[in-house]
Amino acid sequence: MTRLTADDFNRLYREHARRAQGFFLRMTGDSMLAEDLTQELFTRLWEHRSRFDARQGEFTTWMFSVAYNLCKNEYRHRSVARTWDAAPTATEYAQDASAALEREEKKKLLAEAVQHLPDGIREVFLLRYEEELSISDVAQILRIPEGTVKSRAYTALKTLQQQMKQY
Amino acid sequence: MAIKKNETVNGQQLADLEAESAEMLTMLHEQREEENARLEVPERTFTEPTKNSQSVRMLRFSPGWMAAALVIGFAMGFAMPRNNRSLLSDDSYTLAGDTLNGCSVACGDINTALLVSM
Repeated sequence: MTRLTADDFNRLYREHARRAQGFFLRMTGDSMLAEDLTQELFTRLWEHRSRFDARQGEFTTWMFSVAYNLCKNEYRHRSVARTWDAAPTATEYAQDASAALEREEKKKLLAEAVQHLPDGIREVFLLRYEEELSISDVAQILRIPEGTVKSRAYTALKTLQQQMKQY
Repeated sequence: MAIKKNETVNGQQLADLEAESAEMLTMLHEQREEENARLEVPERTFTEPTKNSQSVRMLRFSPGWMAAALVIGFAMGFAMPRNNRSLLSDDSYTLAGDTLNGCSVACGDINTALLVSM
């Protein structure tokens, strides 16, 4: 097993901290909490770096596994109140949209729609399509069968497509 | 098309839907990149623990060390002159008094050890 040195780990922090913080932000909807969780995540990874074996998997898979567990703990212990407002309807957006802003508005609508996916579906969607991880990596991180990942990913895409069609 | 919960999906169906959703996924990536770029990520440096801090950790959390401190503490408590060791009364000598003295000395030893190690 190749042990991560402090230099290796500092490089990994520089490369992945922003991505992890973005993931926490999209999972919790709270920027302060996302920053705290990122620091907690890298502290844990640093403390348990001896468990990481580069030959057995990617650093990102390990990082997202721990990150996902931190999110679950947050939900469990602090009952994170999702602060998202009720999803604006497609009509509300459509009224304001001008041609120049259409794409930006679509992006906003899409982001809102993602945040309103059910938890289990959203987790799969964020890891698979926003973090661009493979089906097997997502299954490993969430500890669910690959078939379930595919089914949830399919449901997420169908749901989002239907919502975007209303736009 | 109605979406059924836990619908069985094969890889090809998913791949087809992903291809159909390409524009939507591109927009999501753009959104993600913009969002990530706006994040303030603190600078942080991780350093290897020094040998000294490793030995402090061992000293603080080693059950063996704690047990040794207790034994030494009790031994010292029992070895004290009789007129100094009873906390219960001036004249009475009781096992409880010895035990209390032993415990207090042991606690003192542990505290000292922890302070020295810090």
